[in-house]
Amino acid sequence: MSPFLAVLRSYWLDWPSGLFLVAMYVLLLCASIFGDAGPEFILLGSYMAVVLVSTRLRSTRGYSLAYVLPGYRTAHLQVAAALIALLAWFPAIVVGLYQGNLQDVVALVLVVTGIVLTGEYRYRKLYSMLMAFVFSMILLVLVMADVKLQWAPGVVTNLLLGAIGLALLVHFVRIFLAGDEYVPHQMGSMWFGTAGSAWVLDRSTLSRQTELASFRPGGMGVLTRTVRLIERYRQSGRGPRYLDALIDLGVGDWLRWQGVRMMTVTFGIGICILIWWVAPAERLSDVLPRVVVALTFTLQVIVSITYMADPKWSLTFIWTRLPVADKAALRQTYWMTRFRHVAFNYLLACGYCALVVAAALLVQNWLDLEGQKVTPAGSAAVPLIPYLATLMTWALAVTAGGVGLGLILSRWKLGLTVALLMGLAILVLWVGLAMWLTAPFNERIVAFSLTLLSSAFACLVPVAIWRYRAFYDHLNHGLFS
Amino acid sequence: MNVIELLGMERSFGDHKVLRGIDFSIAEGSITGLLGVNGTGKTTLINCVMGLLKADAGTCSVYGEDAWQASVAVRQRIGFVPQVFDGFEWMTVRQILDYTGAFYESWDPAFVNELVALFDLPDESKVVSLSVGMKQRVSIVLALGHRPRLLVLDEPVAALDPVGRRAFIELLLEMNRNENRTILFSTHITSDIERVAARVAILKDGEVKLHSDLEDLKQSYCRVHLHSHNGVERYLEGLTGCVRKEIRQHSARLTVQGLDPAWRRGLEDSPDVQIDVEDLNLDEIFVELNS
Repeated sequence: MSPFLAVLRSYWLDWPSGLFLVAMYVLLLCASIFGDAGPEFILLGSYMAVVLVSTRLRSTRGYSLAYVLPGYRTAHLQVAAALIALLAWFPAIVVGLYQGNLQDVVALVLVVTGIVLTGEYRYRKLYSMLMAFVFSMILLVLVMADVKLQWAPGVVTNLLLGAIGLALLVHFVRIFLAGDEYVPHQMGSMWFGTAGSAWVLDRSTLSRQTELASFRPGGMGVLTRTVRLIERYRQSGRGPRYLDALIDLGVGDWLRWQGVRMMTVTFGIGICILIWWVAPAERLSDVLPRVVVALTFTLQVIVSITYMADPKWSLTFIWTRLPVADKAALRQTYWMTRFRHVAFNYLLACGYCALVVAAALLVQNWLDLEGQKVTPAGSAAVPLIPYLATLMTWALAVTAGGVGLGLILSRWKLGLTVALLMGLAILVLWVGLAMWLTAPFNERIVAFSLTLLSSAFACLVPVAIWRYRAFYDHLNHGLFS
Repeated sequence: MNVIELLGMERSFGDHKVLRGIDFSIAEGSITGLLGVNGTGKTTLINCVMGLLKADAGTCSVYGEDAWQASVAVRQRIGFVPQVFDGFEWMTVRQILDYTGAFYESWDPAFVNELVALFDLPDESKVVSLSVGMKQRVSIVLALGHRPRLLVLDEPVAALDPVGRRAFIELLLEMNRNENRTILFSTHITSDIERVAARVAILKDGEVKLHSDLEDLKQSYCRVHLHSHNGVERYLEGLTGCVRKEIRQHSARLTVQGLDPAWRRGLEDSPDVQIDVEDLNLDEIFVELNS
C-alpha cells in the first residue's frame, strides 16, 4: 500500500471523519445538481471538510508518529489536494475559475494554504486553530465584500436584534472583565444566549460560589482541580450531591468560562475586522446588530456544546478514582442536577425573550399608530422567531445531552461518539437558524452561514478533541478496560 | 562517522532555557544511554534530534543533515520510540502496523510478525483499549519494523513489565551486535544502561556534564571513607577530583573522580587514619553527581 492510500484509508477508518466527508460531498453534489448554489457554497463546504480532516489528523496526537514517518507530509498534502480536485467535478466552480473570477481563485488559494498551515503538525495546536480561524474570517470577508446590501429591515426588526445583540454583548464583556474570581452559573448564559440570558442569573449562584471560592485559584488545570475537589469531597464525608456541586462549579463552570473568554476575544477581533473592511459607513447601523448577533450565536453554540463533555469528565473521575457505592444514585443526581439547571435557565431566558418581543411589538404598534407603516405585511411573527428558536434548540439539546449521557453511563465508547455527533448536529442546526434569522443580505445567505459554520468547526473541533484526548490519555483509558 | 552531531545546541520554552549549549556526538554502531534527573532536558534533546522541536541556536544534525529539515532518505533510516505512545489510537494494532509500514521501503512484515509474537500483542484490538505497557510495546514494534540504522528511544522501558523489558533489551543488544545499529536511549533505570550501553551521557542543568565509556566512567569514580580520632580535615589537603564530601568530626565520606594513587598510598601508610575505597555502580555515580 502506498503512503497516499494509507493516509486515505486512515480517514475512512476514523469513521466519523469519513462519514462527514462523504456527507459533505453528497450535499455539494445535490446543491450542484439542483443549481441552488454558487461557487462560494462549494468552496466553503469543501473548506469545512478539509479543515475538519486536517484538524482531526492533528488532534490524534500523532505528531511524533506523523513526523517520523518519511513522506507523511507529502501524503497528507496529496490527499488534501485530491479532496480539492474533486471539486473540479462541480461545474460551477470550474466556470468561475475559467472566467477569471478573482474571488473564487483567491478563495481556492486560501483554502489550499489553510490546509497546508493547519496540517503543519510541528507547530503548536493553538497556532493551527488560529490559522483556521483567520482563514475562515478572510473567506467571510471575501464573500461579503461584493454583496449588495439590499435588505431594508424595519425599525422593529432592527430594534429586536439590537436588543438581543446588546444583551449578549454586555453579558460577555461582563464575563470577560470580571477576572478570575467570576464564574458563571452552571448552564447560565451558555445555552440560552439566543434569548439573551439575563445577568440576573449570576445572583443565583452567589452563595455557592462563595462557598467554593477556594477551589478556583488561578493557574490550575482541569485535572488538578478535579483531583483537589475529590480530596475535598472525601474529607467532607458528605453525599454525592456535594461532589456533584463541587465538580459542577469547580471544574465545569471554570472550563466554560475559560472557553467564553477565549472565544470572546477571537470573535471580538473578527467582528472588528469585518466591520472595518466590509460594512459601508451608511449601512453600519443595519449590519452591526446582525453581525454581532450572528457571531454571538456561533460563540454560544461552540461553548455550549462543550457542556456535553462535562458529565463525562467528572463521571469518569468518580468512576475511576472513587469507590462510590451507589452508582445509580450518583447517576440520578447528575441527571436531576442538569435537568434543574436547564429548566431554571430556560424559564429565565424565555422570560427575557418575551420581554424583548413585547417591547418590540409595543414599539411597532406605537409607530403604526403614529402613521409610520414600518412592518411589511406578513412579518408580524418575526419577533417570535428567536423565542421559537430557543425553544426548539433547548428541546434538541436536552434530548441530545440526555441520550449522550445515558449512553456514556451504560457504554462509554458509544456514548462518546453519539454525544459528539449530537453536538455537531446541534451546531449545524443552531448556527443555521441563527444565520437565517440574522443574515443581513438577501443573497449569499448560504455562503454567509457556511462561513460562520466553518469558523465554528475550525475553532470547536480541535478544542473539543484536544480536551477529550488529553483527558483520556491522563486516565490511561482506564474506563475502557 | 558520527550519526548524531550536536554543537552548541540551545532550546528554550519561553523564559526557561532547557538546553544550554549541548555539545554531543554519537558514533555509528554505538549504544549510548542518556541519563538525567527529571526536567533536565532529555526529552527536549531527543525531540530536537528527531526534528520534532527546532533548536533555538547551534546545530543539530542527523546523518549529516539538519534534523529539523531531515530528508525522507534520512528518516527512512531512523526508528523512534516516544515516551508515551503517540499514534492513532483508534486504529487496531494490525491497522497501525500496516499504516506505518506503508511509509517505509524497508518495512519487513515477517520481522514485524515475529515482534508481534514476541511482545504478545493482540492484533485485532484497538490501540486505545490497550494498557500503557502494551501501547509501549506497539511503539517499539513500529520503531523496529523497518530495521532502522539509528534507533532513538525516549524512556522506552518505563512502562514495560520485567518480562517485556528483558525481551526488549535483549533485542536491542542483538540488533547492535549483529547489525551494527546505532542506539540512543534515555532512561531512569540505570541498571538497564549498565546492561546495554557502551557509552553514557549525563545531562545536568541543560548541559552534557559527562559523556564517556561506561566502564571508564565506573572506574574513574569511587567513594572514599576516612576515619581518624584526630579529625580528618587535614588529610583532605592535596585531594583532587572530589565531587562530593560529607565531613563529620572523626570521619569523612568522599566521592572522588580520578582518585590520585599517591594521595591514597600516603593515607594507607599513615597509622593515624583509616581509609577504605569502594567502587561505585552507575546508579550511585548518577546520584552523587546530582546531589
